[in-house]
Amino acid sequence: MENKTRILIVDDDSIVRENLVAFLEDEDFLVDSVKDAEEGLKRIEDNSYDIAIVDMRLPGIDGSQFIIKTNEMSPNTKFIIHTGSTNFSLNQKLKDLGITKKELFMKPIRDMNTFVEEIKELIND
Amino acid sequence: MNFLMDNKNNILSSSGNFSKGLSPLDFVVFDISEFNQKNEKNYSLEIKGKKYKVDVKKIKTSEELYHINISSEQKDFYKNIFKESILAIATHRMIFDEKGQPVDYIFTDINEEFKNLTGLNSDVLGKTVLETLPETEKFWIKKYGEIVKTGKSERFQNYSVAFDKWFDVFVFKNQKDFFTTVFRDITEEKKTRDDLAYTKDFLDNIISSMPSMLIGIDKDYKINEWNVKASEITGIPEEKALGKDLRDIIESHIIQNALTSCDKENSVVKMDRVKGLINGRNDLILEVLIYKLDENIKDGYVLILSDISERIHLQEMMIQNEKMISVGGLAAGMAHEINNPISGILQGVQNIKRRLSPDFAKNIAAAERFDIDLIKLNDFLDDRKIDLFLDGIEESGFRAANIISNMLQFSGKSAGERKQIILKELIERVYELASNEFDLSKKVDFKKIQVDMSKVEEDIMLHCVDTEIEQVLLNLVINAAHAVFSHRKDDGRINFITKRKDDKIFIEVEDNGPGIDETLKTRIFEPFFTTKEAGEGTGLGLSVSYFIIKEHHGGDIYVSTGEMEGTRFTIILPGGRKNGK
Ligand SMILES: Nc1ncnc2c1ncn2[C@@H]1O[C@H](COP(=O)(O)OP(=O)(O)OP(=O)(O)O)[C@@H](O)[C@H]1O
Ligand SMILES: [Mg+2]
Repeated sequence: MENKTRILIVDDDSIVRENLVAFLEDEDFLVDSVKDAEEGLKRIEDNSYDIAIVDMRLPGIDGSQFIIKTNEMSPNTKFIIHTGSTNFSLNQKLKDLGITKKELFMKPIRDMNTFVEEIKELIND
Repeated sequence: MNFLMDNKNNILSSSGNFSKGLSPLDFVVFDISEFNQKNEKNYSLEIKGKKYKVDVKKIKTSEELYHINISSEQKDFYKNIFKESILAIATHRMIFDEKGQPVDYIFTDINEEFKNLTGLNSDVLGKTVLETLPETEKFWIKKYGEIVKTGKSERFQNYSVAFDKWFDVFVFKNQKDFFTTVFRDITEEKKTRDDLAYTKDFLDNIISSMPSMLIGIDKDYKINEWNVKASEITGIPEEKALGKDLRDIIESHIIQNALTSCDKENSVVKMDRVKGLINGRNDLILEVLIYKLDENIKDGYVLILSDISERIHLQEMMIQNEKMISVGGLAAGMAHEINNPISGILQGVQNIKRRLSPDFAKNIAAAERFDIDLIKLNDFLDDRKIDLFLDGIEESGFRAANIISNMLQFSGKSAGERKQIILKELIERVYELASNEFDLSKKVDFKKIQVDMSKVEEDIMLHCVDTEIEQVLLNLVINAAHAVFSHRKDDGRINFITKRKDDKIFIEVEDNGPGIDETLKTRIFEPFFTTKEAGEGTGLGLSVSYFIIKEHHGGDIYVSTGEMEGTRFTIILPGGRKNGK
């Protein structure tokens, strides 16, 4: 039980959020979810997450800033970007954190198993 | 002829040569007593039907000796002409060197006009031309020398340095080395003439180098002016066009009204965007200007026909471009907003399906807690077709997702990475994909369509997002196949053509389908414009292609009527290089 992978989902769309939580919980991950980056940072302060799945367009602090701050606070947390922004591309700062196109998930994701595969890969790294 | 005569009519001596056929003996008829009677100095005398002037002088009164000068009136007449002529006349004697080459000539007589014209006077008589006018060109001496030698008179025009004038000269030989020059100053005349010729040349030049067709016709439509451009566009050379009836070459009814109002209002009539005016050139869009000529000078009209196809094409492209960019921006924005709800739909369906599955451990545990038979539940779902509806939701979600992902291409930049690829290989891949696609489709049998790739060049490299160009070409072939198959079942043809021209790459996809109606040509690139039945096409193919080519690759895509009378799509991409860069 203690060895379960902990995942934090940051997404302002509750339906997307809930679906992802449900799917990942069914996969036996420990999943928390928040609707914005501010709340997300609080969670990061109090918990340690293996993976954060982050939407980019968020109210307040945006996904990119959230990732940078999280990395400062919790350098071991890995990131998957889950965005609906068509014109999103990885900026240099994110690339410097080791995020590659592989971790870039464009909405809509037709099969959430792709998340599971990526999460497993990231943990095994 | 001069002679001395005594008062008994005896001719004592005579000199000079008289007119032909007249000998001194003839003058015995001349009675000196008559002179004494009349006591006049000048007579007119008729001998053998010819008139002569007689000038009598008494020399020695004592001896009654008379000096009589008889001259032909005719000769005088010429003498007068010589003197009073409005042309400059001079007589000369040519001087030859020992080898018989003309070297100089002497002035032997000059008339008044000669003096006026040259500013010389009688002082020149007896002198040579080189003494008088040392700068005289060899030309004159040589020319006159020839005339003296051959005896052939000649008329020519030449410039003289000595006078800084142009002369029109008539030269003839008199006797032996003597010759006469008759000439006039044509400097002014020549200048006017040259100016005129220049003006005419200049105008001719303008007319022939005009980028428009210039056609002149008279009242009866007979062509009297036909410039180079007119020949070029109609294929009728000037010599064939001149004199022809313009109505044989153009559809004159199109401009009939214009000609009439041109007549009435006496003004220029302009017609914009005229199509189908010139027989055999229905591809042209013309601007027509018709001028009526000043009736006093020349009755008729001048037509200036300018090919504005290119301009219109550019205009249309610009309008199209703006339209597409605004539509594209809207679509891309919409797409973005729709991505989240579609995520909700697709992921929701995936969760529902999984959570209803009778094999999933967590479901079995939960079902036990609620005392539910999962197998029965699934039979129920099946019976009530809930499975089917879920599949429907999922399927619809996928479709929407597809549309959205296409619409996402309407954004200014491309998500993909550019690569250097070999165009021919890409086209072959597209062909492969297209034939697979049609294996699945029932409506179109791709195998029945003859695809010609012989005009695809081997060595064109392309720097592009290959997946996108692939998508564009795939859509073009699929469109072409649909068109061809809707039109004819057996001899459908699709041609791929690639070309490289000045650092640009041209890719053409051509079919022998029904073609595209002129009025639809600008609409087909609009998102969601389709003539296909619902479910068969979304109408996004060409709009996506448009954005991929124009926005992502800085190229151009347009439609025209191809060689095979069907449709031809042309893609122009920048940066064409030979294989190996
Ligand atoms: N080669 C062609 N010959 C005749 N008409 C064509 C041809 N290509 C395209 N069209 C016309 O242009 C329309 C728009 O084409 P487009 O590719 O954008 O959409 P579609 O093929 O109808 O749908 P989709 O590509 O989204 O499946 C077509 O419906 C058809 O009317
Ligand atoms: Mg199409």
